[in-house]
Amino acid sequence: MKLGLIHGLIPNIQKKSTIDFSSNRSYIFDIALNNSFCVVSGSNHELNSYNYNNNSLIFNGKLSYHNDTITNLKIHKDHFLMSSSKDGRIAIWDLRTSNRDPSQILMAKNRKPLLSFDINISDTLLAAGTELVAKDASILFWDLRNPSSVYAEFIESHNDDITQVKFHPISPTQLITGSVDGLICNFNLNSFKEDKDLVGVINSGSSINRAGYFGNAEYVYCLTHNETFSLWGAPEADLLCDFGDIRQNSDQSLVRIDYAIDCQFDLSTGRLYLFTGSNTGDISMIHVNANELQLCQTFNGAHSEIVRSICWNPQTNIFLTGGEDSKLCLWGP
Amino acid sequence: MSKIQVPAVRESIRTVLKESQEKNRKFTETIELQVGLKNYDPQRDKRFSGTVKLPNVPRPKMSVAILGDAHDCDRAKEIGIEFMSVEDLKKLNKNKKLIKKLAKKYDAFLASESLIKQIPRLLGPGLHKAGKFPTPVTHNDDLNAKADELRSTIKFQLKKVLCLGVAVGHVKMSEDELVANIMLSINFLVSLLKKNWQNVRSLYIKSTMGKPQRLY
Repeated sequence: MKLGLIHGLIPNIQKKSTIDFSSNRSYIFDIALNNSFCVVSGSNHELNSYNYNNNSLIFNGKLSYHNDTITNLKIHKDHFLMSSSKDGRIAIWDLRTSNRDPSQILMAKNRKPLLSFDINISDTLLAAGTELVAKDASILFWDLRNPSSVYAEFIESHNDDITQVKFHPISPTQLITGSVDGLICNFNLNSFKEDKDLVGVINSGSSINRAGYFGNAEYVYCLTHNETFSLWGAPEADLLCDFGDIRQNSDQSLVRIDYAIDCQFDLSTGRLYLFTGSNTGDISMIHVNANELQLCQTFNGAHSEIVRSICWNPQTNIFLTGGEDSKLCLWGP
Repeated sequence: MSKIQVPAVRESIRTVLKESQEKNRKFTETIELQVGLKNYDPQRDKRFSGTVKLPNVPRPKMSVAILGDAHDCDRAKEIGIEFMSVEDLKKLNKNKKLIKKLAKKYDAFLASESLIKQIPRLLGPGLHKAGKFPTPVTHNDDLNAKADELRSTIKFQLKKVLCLGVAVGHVKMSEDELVANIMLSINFLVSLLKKNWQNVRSLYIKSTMGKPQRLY
């Protein structure tokens, strides 16, 4: 399957601004956005906040809390910043205040390292995936109306690090969890009894890096650490399309693809996009069609090392990218 | 460009095989590729984990059963692959002990595509802890070939230390088969490292009881 080309899906994008995340070359891991701020997590366990507009990025201060690797970052409902960490905690800041300290902390039992998390559409549940500790990797649930302790724990469904947790975008009781064990488990939380709530399992045959819902949330995309990419129906777990090793789409005349960064689904157009990168920092944005991959935009000349995160606002077509070169870049039309 | 050459690998394999024959163990020793990494920080570099499918079956004794629909159970019966039908699975009544027993009985499972969506309802997460959730097969797939695919796919994962061991074969395989498995494994693993050969400090092959032979 050869990489196709497509024009006109998004306007032509150029680099607008670059800023260094840290002076000691910490890696940028994750970027989270709302309309005026972006928050960036780094390998130095810190969170930097920046104001941004169409053309510039301005540093706005640090948020320090975690003392171990920050594994996931989200801005929820526009003003809640949430981060998970291997220190076993989820920290929540209210961005409307100028408070540099978190307004709330959720704690995993026994400080189990948390690798991924998500919050449901009705704001009532937070789910987090843990690292494998002794023989268990758990999915922990907190009831946000009473977050002082863990509400439920699923311990049977995965036997290795849980790298991705995503709630269904519409249904508040459905979620998927992805793990290094190769499985994407689909749950419908009715009774919080694990064996009854498990409704579907996708076996990717490798180790899950990223997974998420797309379409009307009846589909799931799957990116593995082997750099393979596939699309599945959920919860039936039927394979819709196996794109295989995406590095095969590397084309000397077009783009170099060494790894996948993530997918992003644009609800307003119903299109799924895959972002890939090269080891020297070139980024490609690929439109994913049934059985076809189409290159629609490249982001070159800004990064020099592996790109770890890309965040896109489809309404404004502003993109923020960050990576192992410790650079945060702003791009736009 | 590969930093190791086939003749050197062949030479090391010969040594490993010779040593194993001389000692005449009571079991068939596994041959493992040991990869030592450098310039890689497990705390911040991207995770190094996944599976690789080898050209020659490294674990021929791996037992595989199929959870099949009527068509696949018939096929399995004809070619001597152990199978269980939907009725057989229903009989387990989602009993955790029985499912755990089933998970222990076989090394890996295949399941008819049409059955995969029923597995959570029939068995719950009972096979997950053992890492044995089935791999789907279609009516067009050759069952023996799919079973061999399972026997040829090995997992690798770098944890907190900078070395990784991968089972690439056993001492009853031919030199050619071992060369093919080892070269493929090395090239595949190196391709996933961001600095490729710059991330490799050393490569050894070793039989279970034998001395490590350095390849790089």
